[in-house]
Amino acid sequence: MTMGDMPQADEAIIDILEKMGVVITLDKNVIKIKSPKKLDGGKFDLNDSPDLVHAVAILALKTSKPIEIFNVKHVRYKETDRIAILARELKKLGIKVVEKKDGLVLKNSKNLIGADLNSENDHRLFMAFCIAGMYVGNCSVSHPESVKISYPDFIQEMKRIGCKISLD
Amino acid sequence: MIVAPKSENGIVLNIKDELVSKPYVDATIMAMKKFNVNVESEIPYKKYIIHPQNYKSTTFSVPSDFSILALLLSAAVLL
Repeated sequence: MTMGDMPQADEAIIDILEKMGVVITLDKNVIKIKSPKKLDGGKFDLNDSPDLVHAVAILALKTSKPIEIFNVKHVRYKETDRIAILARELKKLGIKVVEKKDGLVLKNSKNLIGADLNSENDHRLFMAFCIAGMYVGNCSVSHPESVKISYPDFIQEMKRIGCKISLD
Repeated sequence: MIVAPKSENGIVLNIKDELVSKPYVDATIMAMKKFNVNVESEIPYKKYIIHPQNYKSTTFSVPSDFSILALLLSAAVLL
């Protein structure tokens, strides 16, 4: 599945979500999402699309089976060591995480709890943790200023669609 | 890769081991092509040859960013 005439690695998210049971309808400029109550898990080789790791990892909040992300050792050398930080912070929310050299195994738990999440000034982790926090509730996420690098209006746009986010 | 066409003698890029994030290389080559610069894929993801060339101005539409879109899709699935 491709959109536009430039290849984009992260288009893979469409196939990943479909494999997890999400029904996706693509129109010209609109993507419609119909999500099941619980997502399937799955094993995902994200070597070609390292910027999907956090977006896929947070889906473990809503899966019935484990999510395994592998072949992404290079994600440890992005703005931060995203594998280590995702493992450490998602554990705080109650997700059962096994950190591997080249990825993560994430299992849902019935006991999700709000937590103070440290994004370590990494814009992608900040946004992923905000979305995870909105699902779990009662969370704080550090370093909101980090989003300026890629999505300066992130917080305003989340608020516009009804999310309750306040800046400390 | 992007700077290579402006080097005096061009550049031969040899990639050791297995390249990661391959689609980003393809996107780079495609973007360079839109500016009239050619990259020879001698062995894809292993060896590229870029001769000295000049970039030419063009009209270029920047596509939506799927890295950000992926997060919004995850949000739509979760929330």
